[in-house]
Parts: sequence; C-alpha cells; structure tokens
Amino acid sequence: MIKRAITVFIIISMVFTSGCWSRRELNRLAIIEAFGVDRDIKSGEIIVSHHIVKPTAKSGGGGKGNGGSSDSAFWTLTASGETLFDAIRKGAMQSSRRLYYGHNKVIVIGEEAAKEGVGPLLDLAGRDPELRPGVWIFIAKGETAADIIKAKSEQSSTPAIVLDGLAKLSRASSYSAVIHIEDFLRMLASETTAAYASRIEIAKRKKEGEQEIVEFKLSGAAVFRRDKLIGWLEEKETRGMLWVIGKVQSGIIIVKSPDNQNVGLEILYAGSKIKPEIREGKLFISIEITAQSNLGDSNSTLDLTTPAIYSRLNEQQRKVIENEVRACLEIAQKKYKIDLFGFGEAIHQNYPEDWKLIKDKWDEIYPTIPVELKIKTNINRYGMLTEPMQAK
Amino acid sequence: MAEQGKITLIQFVFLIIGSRLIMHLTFNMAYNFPPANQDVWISTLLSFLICVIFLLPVFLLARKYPDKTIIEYSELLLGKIGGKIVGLLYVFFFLHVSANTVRLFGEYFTAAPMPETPLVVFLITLVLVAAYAAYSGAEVIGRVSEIVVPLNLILVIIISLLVIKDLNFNNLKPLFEKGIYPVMYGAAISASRAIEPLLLAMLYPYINAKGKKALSYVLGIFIAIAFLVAIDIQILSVIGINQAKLMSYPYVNLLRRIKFADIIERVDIIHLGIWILGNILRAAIYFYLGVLGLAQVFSLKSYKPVIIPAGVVILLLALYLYPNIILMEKFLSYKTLGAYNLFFVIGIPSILLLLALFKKNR
Repeated sequence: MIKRAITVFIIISMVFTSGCWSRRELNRLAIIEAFGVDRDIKSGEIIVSHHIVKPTAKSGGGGKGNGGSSDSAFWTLTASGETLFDAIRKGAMQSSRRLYYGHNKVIVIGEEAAKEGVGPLLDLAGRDPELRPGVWIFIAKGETAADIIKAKSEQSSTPAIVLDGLAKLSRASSYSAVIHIEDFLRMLASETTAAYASRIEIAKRKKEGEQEIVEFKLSGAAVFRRDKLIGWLEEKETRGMLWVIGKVQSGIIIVKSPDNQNVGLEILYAGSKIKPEIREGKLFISIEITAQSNLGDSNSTLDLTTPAIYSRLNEQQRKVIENEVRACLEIAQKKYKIDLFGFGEAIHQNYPEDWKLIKDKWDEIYPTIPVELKIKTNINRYGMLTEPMQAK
Repeated sequence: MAEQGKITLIQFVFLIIGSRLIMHLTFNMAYNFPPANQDVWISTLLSFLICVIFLLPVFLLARKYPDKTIIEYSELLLGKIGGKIVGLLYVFFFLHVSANTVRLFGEYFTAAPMPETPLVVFLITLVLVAAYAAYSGAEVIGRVSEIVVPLNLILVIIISLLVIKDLNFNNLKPLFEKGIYPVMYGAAISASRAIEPLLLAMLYPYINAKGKKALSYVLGIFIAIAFLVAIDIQILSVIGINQAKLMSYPYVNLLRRIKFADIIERVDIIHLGIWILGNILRAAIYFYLGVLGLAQVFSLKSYKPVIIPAGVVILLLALYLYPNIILMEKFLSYKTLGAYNLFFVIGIPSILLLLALFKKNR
C-alpha cells in the first residue's frame, strides 16, 4: 500500500514539477537576429552591436505594421569589452531580457575590425553552443558594422531579415560570394586556402523625416590572408572565383549577337573540377568548368536560333567565363597572392609526395603556377520565343 | 551464485555495440591521436582485427571455465588472497568505467545544452537510473539494450542519410599520407579503447546459449566499428581534419550543420536523445558488473546489498576524480587510458591464462 502511494506520488510530481533548469522563457529573451562586431582602433576594445526584434511591434499584424509606421520593430544595443564575450555580457547591463543568439542569422564585421584580424572575433562562434551554424558572415565595406546593424530599410521592418534575404538571393546573379560561418571557419583552419566572405555596402541613403532609410547592397567578396582582410573582389572577379570553386548557381552572361547587340544568357548549371597535374616536372593546375545556359533575352532583331549563331554565342559565352576566371586568377595570384581556390589542398590530395617538397615554399610557388582552363559550355534552350520580339 | 538471470546472444551483441559506440557519438578524441590526419578512419577500420586478437586471452580462459566469471576463476588460479586482489582490481575498474561514463555524460550536458545546470544534477540522475538497472539484474539490462541500441543505430543511420549531400570525399585524400605505421599505431590505440572483452569475461556464464559466444562478440564489435568508421568518414569528409581537430564535439558540430530543404534543421536534439539513452545503458552495464564482481569476491548470496555503496562510490569518483575536463582528457588520452585498459583486458587475463596452462600441464 505504501509502495503504491509512493509510486502515485512520484508519478504525480513528475507531471507537475518537471521542467528544465536552463529553460528559456520567450518573454524573458531578447531575440537577436543579427549582430555586428567592430574594433575600437584606439583602445583595441571590441564593440558589438545587436539587432534585436521587438516582439510586440512585430506581432502588430501585416496591416499596420508595414505601412510606414515610425514604430520600429527592432532596437539596437551596443556594448564594448576586451573580448567579444566580454562585450556581449556587458551588453546585458543594458537589456532587461536575456540576450539570445539561437536565432541569429547574420554576423557583420566592420572593415577596420576585419583588417585587424577576424580570428579573435569568431572564436566564440565556434566555442559557444548557443551560436549556431548556418549564420551568414558579412564584411561591411566603408562602414562600421554598427552602421549596418542600426540602419533602417524600407523592405522590412527588421533589416536583419533583409540581410538574410540578400544572402539567400545572391544565387540569382552569382556576383556575390556568400558563405556560412562554419565554412568560413573551415577556410580559416586550412593551412593554404584563403578565406572569403561577402561584402555588404550601403548603396543609397535617403532622409525620411528624422529617419534615415538605407538600401543595402550585397556584392563582391572580401578576401583574407590568414584571418586579416586584405582586399576586395569586384563583381566579375567574384563570379570568376565562384566558377572555379563550382559555386555559381545562376546569373546572366552578356554576349554579343552578330549585329553587335547585347544578348543575355541565363546560367542554369555550373560545375568545376580542379586538377593539379605534373608534366615534365612542372606543376600545372587544370580547371575544368562546365556551364549550361538558356537564351534569356536579346536586344537584337536577328533570329538567333540558328545553329551557326548558337555556336557563336556559345563560343562567346566560353570567352566571357574565361575572362572572368582569368581576372580573378590575376588578382588572386599576382595582386593579393592568396589561394582562394584550394589549389594547395588539391595538390596535397593528389600529389602528397610532391606536396611535401613544396609545402614550405607554397607562398612563393603559388603566384607562379600556370593555370589551364578547360571550359565546356552549352546553350540549351531559347525560352518561349523563337524569333525576337520586335516592332514591325 | 549471485546472479540467476540469463541474457540471450542477441542481447549480448547489443550490449557490446552500446558499450563501444556511445562515447564516440560525442567525445571523438581520435582525431588528435596518431595518425592525426585524414587516415583516422582507416585506423578505426583496422582496429577490428586487433580487437579480435585482444579477445583471445579472455576467450580461452572463458572456454576453460565456462560456468565461471573472471573473478571466480582468478580465485581458483591465484589462490584465495591473490584472487581477491585481482577481483577487487576488476571491481574498481568497472566502477571507474561507470564513473567515467557518468562524468562524461554530465560533462557534455554542462558544456553544451544546459550550461547553467550544476554537474552534480546530471551525475545523480544518471547514477540513480543506473543503480536501478543494476538492481534489476542482467536480464533487465539485456532487455534495455534491445530497445536502446537499435534506436541508437537507426538514428545514426538517419543522420548519415541527412549529411550525404555534404560529403566531399576529396577531404579523405591522400590516403596513407604518413605511411602505414602511424595508421597501425592508431588502430592499436582505437582497439585499446575497447574494453568489451571484459563483458565476455564477466557475462560468459550468463549468456543463454551454447558456443558462438565469442562469435557474437566479434559480430558486436564489427557492427560497432562499422558505425564508428561511418561516423569518422562523415566527420572527415564534411568538416575536414583541420577543423575536427579543433573541436570538442565534432559529431555534434556535424549535426548542427544539417539543414535539409529548410525543413529539417536543428537535429542536434536527436543526438541528445541518443546520448542520454546510450549513457544510461553504458553506466548501467559497468555498474552492474562492478556490484556483481564485488558480490563474487566476497561470496555474497546476492549483489543487491552492495548497490547503494557502489552507487555512492561511482558518484564520488565521477564528481571528485577529475577537477576539470582538461585533466580528465589527459587521463582519457591514448597513452594513459590505453595502458590502463590493456592492463585489464590483456595483462591480467594473459597471466591467468599462462597459469591455467601451467596447471593443466602439471
């Protein structure tokens, strides 16, 4: 009887008293959607700016929430400290709710901070379990990260959503090299491969009453030597890099029609293979790129859908890709001297014996390695028109 | 006899898989052990052969004394005092393994999912559950393994399917970069971490089958190693050796990366389920072996009276043996733990085996 009573007691108490020690109640959290990291040049302190959603403003419903209401759906919190974690915990002094990073979508790093080195800023991202993988990493060009984090956008009441959307949509042009934090950290951990991250800029500013509304632009790439920002890639060069590492997803290639008008080809598929080769004791890198596209639009009045013109367009497409890749190789090998493409790792994987000999001299050898491009392209289809749309 | 229950062959196989596999789902320390490059998975694979060799002394002894545990026949071979000393050594070893399991269980919990909860909460809860399982006896632990281990294996398979699209096998190249010797050394290290021969040494009389017991050990260890190799390959080809070396829990990091069609994400909670279930089983097994051994050393009629003291010992060992994770990992590093394990898995059984052969010849 006593035994049964105890059992019943235990079962009942399991129902009513269970719970989590480390529980997080939604109404006690400040949900961070993006944060930016800067470095104070004088004191060397790390400044972190949080972009925190206001749950009440956001749940105000579609009707009045977006209609130009001045009530912002987010607030920003800035704090500084000796390390990133220190800065974050000092930020807690200004927040009534616990700062929660589990839904963070974007990390922005200011240009000056990135030049000083991003390693110390991102150690926490690998160490702390609350910061999750799948976060985009952006480098702010010409701005501090705080400027990006605090900016207001017309596109959404919470600009962090805009930043996340920009990164997700970068596939449409492939002019921007987006990367997740875990892949970025993997590139940092590599002995030879240099890291890149996407570049965020403020393209336009306009005043609207007291508020400043901005338009973000995500394009190009920031490139690093070790963990220090050393320069930028422009749009064409960025796509050149993405061709080599096989990350082009879509985009438009401009070629010329026989009557010298612009024709747009839509990239459907792209892939690449990096193959190091040793011929007669000399090291080559051979890059095989395959690309397929559709005829997207045409400014020409000619009928482009003849085999002869098609193969001409295709040949031009090949040249455009080659130019983009060459432009990127030039800048990576000659200007910055960084291995953005994983050539070192490819040699290591395929020629481990030879790699041992050149490993220590890799920084000197890399800029001089000849690169051969083998580009195979095809234009598959021409959309819903056969002849161009034109006034007659 | 202190234990009347019997376990089936399939339960024994599951016990071995559960005991071997579970720690490696979180604490994959192998990436910093020789060969410490992308060949780690080959080492794990080759360790199967060494594991089978390491079984031999225990197996030959068990065949000689099929109705006795290692603690009972060591008393036959070494005399009363020597036998009791060896028996107590084994009892301590089992309790220590159980304590390590409990500690690592809590250590992961306080490191990642629940950093604010005190360590001792996790230790006490796990020790209580393990004590109850041990109290219920071998049959219950066997049946628990029938539920827990297949569940673990299924979840590991599901996770493997989710990471398939991220696999980049170029990361496994070049093979045998440092040559064959470090790989073999790594295989020996990996095998030295398998203490499962002692399961055979302790449970041999209680397995409800004639013959094939050693074969079922081989099957169990084969399945466990197959899964370990799969996990190694996933980690090495998705995360890469450079980063895996830096991580405390590479497999957890692998899970956290999973994002499948924007629908399936944040699957690391599955890992937590596996981790809890698997640790209950592992802590219970070695808890049970410890108290069973203790009862046999002192020829008790039942092991049940010693469960509470043993539980307290496990709890205290888990709590106070290592002041922090760094010292614990020092102990768990391949040199210390390898020698420690091999002393019990190979060292003592080999001496006993020599004595047994000597006795027979005389």
